[in-house]
Amino acid sequence: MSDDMSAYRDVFLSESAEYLQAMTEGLLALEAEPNDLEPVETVFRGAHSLKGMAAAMAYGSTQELTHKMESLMDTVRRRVQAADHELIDLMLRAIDVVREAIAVESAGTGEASIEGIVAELVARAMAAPAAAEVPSGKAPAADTGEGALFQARITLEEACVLKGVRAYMAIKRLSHMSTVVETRPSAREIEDERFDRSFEVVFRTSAAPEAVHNALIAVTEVENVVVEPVAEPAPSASTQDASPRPTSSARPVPKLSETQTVRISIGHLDAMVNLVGELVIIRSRLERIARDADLPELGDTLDALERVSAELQQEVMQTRMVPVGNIFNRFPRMVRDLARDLGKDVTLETDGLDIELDRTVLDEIGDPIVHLLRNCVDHGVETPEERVAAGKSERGTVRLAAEREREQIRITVSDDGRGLDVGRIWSAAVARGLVEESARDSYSEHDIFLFVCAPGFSTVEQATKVSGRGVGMDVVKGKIEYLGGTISITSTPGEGTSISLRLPLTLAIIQALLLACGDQVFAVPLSAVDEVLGLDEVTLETVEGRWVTVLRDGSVIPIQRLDVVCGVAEPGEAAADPGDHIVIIHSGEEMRALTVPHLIGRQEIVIKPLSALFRGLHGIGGATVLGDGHVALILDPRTLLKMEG
Amino acid sequence: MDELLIAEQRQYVLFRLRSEEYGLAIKRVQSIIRYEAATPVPRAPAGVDGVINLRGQVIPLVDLGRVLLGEPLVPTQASRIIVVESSVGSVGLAVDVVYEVASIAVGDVKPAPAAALGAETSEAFEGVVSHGDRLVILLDADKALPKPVFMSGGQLQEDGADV
Repeated sequence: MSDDMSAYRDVFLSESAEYLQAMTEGLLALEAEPNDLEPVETVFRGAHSLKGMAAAMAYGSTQELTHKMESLMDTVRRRVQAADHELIDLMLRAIDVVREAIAVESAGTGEASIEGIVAELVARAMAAPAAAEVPSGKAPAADTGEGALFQARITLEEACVLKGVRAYMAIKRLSHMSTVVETRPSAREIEDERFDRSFEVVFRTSAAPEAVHNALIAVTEVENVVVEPVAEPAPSASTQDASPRPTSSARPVPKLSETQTVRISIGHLDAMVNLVGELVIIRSRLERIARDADLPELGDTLDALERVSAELQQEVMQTRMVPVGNIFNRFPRMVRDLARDLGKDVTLETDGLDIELDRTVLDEIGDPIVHLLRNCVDHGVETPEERVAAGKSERGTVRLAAEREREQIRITVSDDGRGLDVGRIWSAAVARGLVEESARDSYSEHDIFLFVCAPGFSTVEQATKVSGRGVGMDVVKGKIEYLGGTISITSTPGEGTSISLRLPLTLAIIQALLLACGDQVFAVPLSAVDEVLGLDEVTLETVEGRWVTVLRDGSVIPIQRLDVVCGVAEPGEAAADPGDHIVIIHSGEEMRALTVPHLIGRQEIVIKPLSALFRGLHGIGGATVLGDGHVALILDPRTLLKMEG
Repeated sequence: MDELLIAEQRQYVLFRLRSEEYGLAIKRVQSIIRYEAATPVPRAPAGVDGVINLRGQVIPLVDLGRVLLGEPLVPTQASRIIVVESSVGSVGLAVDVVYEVASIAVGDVKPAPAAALGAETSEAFEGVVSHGDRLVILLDADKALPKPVFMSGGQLQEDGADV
């Protein structure tokens, strides 16, 4: 295949995947609301477009199959037959076959076998039972988005040179925390700097107006920001027609990226992140030189460089942000199929689909979420009979929601099923020797639930084919922790279970506290540092032969020497040497004090992963390159706290 | 063996550790740089000195002397780090001296005499070959690397079996 052709093929592959996803979503929407004609259009046009694209690529099987799918959907569209469960099933299976056909044909490994499914599609299209009753459907709910409507009036400093750029950055920042509805003047005019010093943005957000104000005022060269609520516009005929218009619907189907977005290969983005990382390193190297040489003029220029590179870094990191909807949208189909297999009736509700997360983080959390959803459907939600007997509705609900929490994202998977049995989990933990029976009082319910994440732990007597083999939750926990996140479980018997994953938004660049031990430098993520104290501010004591720190407020924290943790020194008698500093770090709820010989200061560092040769190493989470080119290891508070104090 | 295969020439980077001579297939070698001391990594697998900064990338440095001969490298002006692409990503291998890139005919390579070399390390050897008046041991880069430390349940495994 020529290079040209392979470039077309890549475009075809990514576009066809989007069409198939839109069709799957359309079919699921249709199943929930069989009289809604809008999803019918989506599916019909999706099949039609795919047919054309496949013809252009000379993918015969894909072309024929999508043609038959289009014909079948046409009968639904003309209301010759109803979109019942069997039809939805058939179409979903056809979509799976299209995927296989595309895989086979694009790889050039021969022809896909589509005869079976084509025959079924044709048979169903021919069957055309008596015209299905299609009452005039109700209009789909207007897409109002979430939160209240606000208006922000943003004024730039008079000296601002790049007005268009600053305005763009302000709007961009706003778009991270809200849905921008309109701008005055138009986005185009703002871009061309056709405005005086101020412009207005109307947006919808569930964030507090103060938070929006603070985010906007933080943009460089923004002088003033006024945020005020705006009245909701009355629904006008132009935004939502009362009656469905089956054939003339002008809505583009499926929703694809518009001209303001471009497709960029992930390789380019990764390269950009690496280069920006290098830039940050070089900048700090220059700062050192400026400091050592005492050149004020260079210092000023460096300040400017720092501002620009910080913004560049933020923008580049932003390009890697992807809405969680990109992976969440795979799940409704999976939950539906799984529930049907298990004879259960389950709806998946999703929320926060537009919350954005770094691509690397997002790639890693797909599998853990699949596992959690499976657990919900398989173990959490009861059978319809059990639910009715328990006085609940027949249909269970599983919820998958994402929300921003400052610099973290929280993903919650919850169900309204039978809940976890604390007693059984405790007994199982005791039986497996994970805890002493007598220690029951020192464990909170929350701690006990976390035992389900222990390797090989399962209270389900008979493993089902879906889940319950006790592999999984430990893998989920491991993956989340690897990403620097935490997991927590809450549950109420009879009412359901909720599992929350807290994850960092990005991985690559963090603020860190640099420490030195001998001539070796270590970095601790600043987010894990609670306090830095002098030796005279704490009391050191031994409890049962172990050193602890007693803080002024009376709290007692285990203490470790950094030089011992880092293998620079052997454990000795003293918990600290004269002149040492005490750095209090935490991971989750746990705290630990470290005695540190030298503090270097706070610095932004680029995290470089450690080779797989160091896999399983406790206490060290990665490495970074310092301004002088030396490597500093990054302490990992999570695994560090697991080490003996 | 196939006639063509026997005649096929492959290129190897030849280097020395103490008095032994070794070769690494050149297609696995990314670069050869001057020796620099590594930043030590606590509790690293035996034979791994630590990490070095290779143009912004942080890679492990393996002391091949410790792994193959049980004796740590004594750095000199001639010491080099051979950066190889391995199954665990780029890895630096510290050696005493790199002296040539040689073409070796596949047919000339003989199996490594396991008995003479010891069972522990012999699996790291692809074979031996006579090159001029010297005997060169050809290494399999992946198998010559120390095994990662897998730690589970908070237990530290610090084995120093081959030191």
